[in-house]
Amino acid sequence: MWSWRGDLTSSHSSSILELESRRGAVALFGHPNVGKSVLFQRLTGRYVMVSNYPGTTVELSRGAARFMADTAVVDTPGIVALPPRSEDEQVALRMLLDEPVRTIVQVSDGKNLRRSLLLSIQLAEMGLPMVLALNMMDEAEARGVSVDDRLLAERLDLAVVPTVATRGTGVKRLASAIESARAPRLRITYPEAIEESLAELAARLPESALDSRAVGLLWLSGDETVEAWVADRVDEETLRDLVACRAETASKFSESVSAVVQRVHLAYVDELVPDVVRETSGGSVGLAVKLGRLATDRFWAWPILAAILYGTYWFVGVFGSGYLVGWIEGSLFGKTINPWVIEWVHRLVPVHLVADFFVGSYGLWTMGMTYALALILPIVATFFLVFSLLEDTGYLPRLAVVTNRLFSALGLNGKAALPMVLGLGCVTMATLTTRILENKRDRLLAILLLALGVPCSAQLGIVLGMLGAISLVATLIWGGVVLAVILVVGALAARLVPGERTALVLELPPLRLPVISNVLAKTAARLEWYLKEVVPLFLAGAALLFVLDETGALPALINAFEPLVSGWLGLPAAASTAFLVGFLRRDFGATGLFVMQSHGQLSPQQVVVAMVTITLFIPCVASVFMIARERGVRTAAAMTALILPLAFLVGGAVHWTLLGIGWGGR
Amino acid sequence: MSADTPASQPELLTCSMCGYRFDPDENEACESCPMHRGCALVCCPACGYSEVDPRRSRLVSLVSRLAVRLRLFRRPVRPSAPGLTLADIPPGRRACIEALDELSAGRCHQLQAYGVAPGRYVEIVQQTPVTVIRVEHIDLAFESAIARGIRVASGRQSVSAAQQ
Repeated sequence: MWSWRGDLTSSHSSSILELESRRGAVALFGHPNVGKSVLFQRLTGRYVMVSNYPGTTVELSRGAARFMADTAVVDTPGIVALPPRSEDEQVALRMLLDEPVRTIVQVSDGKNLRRSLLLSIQLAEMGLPMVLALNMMDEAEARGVSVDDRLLAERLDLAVVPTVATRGTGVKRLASAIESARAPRLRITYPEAIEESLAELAARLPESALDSRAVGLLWLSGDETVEAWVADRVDEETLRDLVACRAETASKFSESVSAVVQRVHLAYVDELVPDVVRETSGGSVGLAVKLGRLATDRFWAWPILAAILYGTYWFVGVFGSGYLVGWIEGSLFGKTINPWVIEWVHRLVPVHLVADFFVGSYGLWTMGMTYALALILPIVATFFLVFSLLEDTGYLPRLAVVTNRLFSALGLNGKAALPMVLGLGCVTMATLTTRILENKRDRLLAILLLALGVPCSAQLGIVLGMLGAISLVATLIWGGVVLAVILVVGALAARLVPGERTALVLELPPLRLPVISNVLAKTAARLEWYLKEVVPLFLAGAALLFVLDETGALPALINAFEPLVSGWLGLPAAASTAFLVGFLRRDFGATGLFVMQSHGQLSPQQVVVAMVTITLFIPCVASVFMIARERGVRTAAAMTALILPLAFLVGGAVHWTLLGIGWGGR
Repeated sequence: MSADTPASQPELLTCSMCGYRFDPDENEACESCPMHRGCALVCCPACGYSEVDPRRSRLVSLVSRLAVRLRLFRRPVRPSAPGLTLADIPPGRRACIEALDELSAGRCHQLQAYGVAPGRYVEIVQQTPVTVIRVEHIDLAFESAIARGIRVASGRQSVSAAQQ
């Protein structure tokens, strides 16, 4: 998932990058969900998002080490094995190839040493100083697993340090092991054909800080990241020779070179593990394991999901959107803060126009800040709190299992549930998280669905609040239409976008009791991020409306949009302003419609039509930028060109249908 | 269709008249017919009886898909790896992985990195809605299409028996 960088000021960031280029970084590598981000936090004192599901880090996070002088530490996305399979795994490998790495720290799960060691071998072969952190040793001990770390260190020829990152155990010892780390002299022997090719490749591959054997193995395995890296650094003739060498090597085996290499690694690990790991008992199946299994059970999964959805609805929809918003907007802002601010601005600013800019109908404070702080913030805060709780428990991967069938209808697999649920918090963040999906097609489809129909919590809160005030039928019509559009567009896109669906393979982390401090820290970090992104956009929206209003352009725009907004959607012409600011953020637009409804300007039918249209709108300017960054400007433009007309088309269709059956008129 | 399904054999049609099984794509005579484009009929090479090839008929495939959605009949099961596969082992049993050669190379590499490798034992936790297995101390979930591509040696040993 998105990694928090908000506290990294530009000067701090540049000093870390300078430190990194001067001395090389200490890079944390390891499988997903083994505690790399917690260890990063312990080593640097910097907060990064930590969750109990794989894929929390999809970008590199950097910080200065606390216990080591002049040392930059980099947290990388989880990697299952080399060659990498997903984009976030490729980020980790690119870091090794492109950036100066002083020491590799592999963070491993002490209770699952076999799979950890497969990666250890690959990292040890890189020829860089390396330390192995045996993390989660408390969980290993609880399950009767003990590891002879001295013998393991001897066999792998590197420092091995047992740690419990969540408690900070072993962190100082790890820091001192990093200071004195050296490159392991581990040399694995591969079949003769591969060894010959590696010797040949050593002379032809471009210069690198990594051992040429490691780069050569990745080249022979057909890794795309190494292929692009090599292609950038050699001339065409050398590249042809390298490709020929790879093809010749591959022709000597009946299976892929990557499979042959992995078999050698597996055999090495199988020989090593019995010597260093002792399992005293199988351990009993605990309550957390039983609950975890019930959460994916074919029968029990559904009542559990329903209970979680109901709890979320009650906390976010009833408590956050109803009680909190009512109190903050109605009493705190409406009766206390706003009258006081308006009075003081009028006293201090004698020019009427300037005063209106701050506290008029489209004022920066009365519209921009009030919408952001009084209407949206309480809903987002309650949602992020629930989301952080769910993340920490490890329920989200189980949700992916339960929803796998639904997503297969959309040409995706259940893993897409993770960005979709996160999209309920923030579509921009969720767009970045689509990197955990395995191929470009899946990522493209997930981003399209996110941009099309997944409302963020702020918007969802407002939508549910407005529809709830009408009737359950109104909510069902809205939900049914949005779901139908998502299903139809998703199914069509799945057929039109070339490529095949990827089957689900997902690690299910154990269910854990959430750590309250972590939950609160994550909620606070997300809220801070939210305020930084949303407040400027809300202020810009209010300023835009103010300027348009004062220059007389707003009535002209409202007139221009009238055939679409009034003629086709059947809404009052004033709703144009809501759609106009909806381009900046659709929750801003929804808030404008909320205010119209509370002033009695919308009939139940108009509320349903407006909510359907604004839900299917593009999420916000920031998310469009994120789509452009992740998938290119053309994709972002194409999605916007598809989504906007579709939103109005569906909204109008709902209007005319409801009009036809005579539902919800005044 | 999933990328991980093994390469399937051509789907044979059985003639309703004479029972002859044949591959409808191999009927080269159709090419000479001026109306063969878009035609859903295929003739039995043995007796000449005209049969509808469901894959060629849009209406039939639409109705079949609808029927599958509505669960009027069971979704066709994709071919399994020959012999016993992970999908055949009931929950609560352990099985020894024999081979993953029915899966794509990339998927095979990924599963082996998780420890689902030949010679290793795994415990089957559940089979629906997806297969969940326990490897070492982690639960790994994957679709049954993948489970059907993993050959196993035996699924008779229960977990409790294995621990004793």
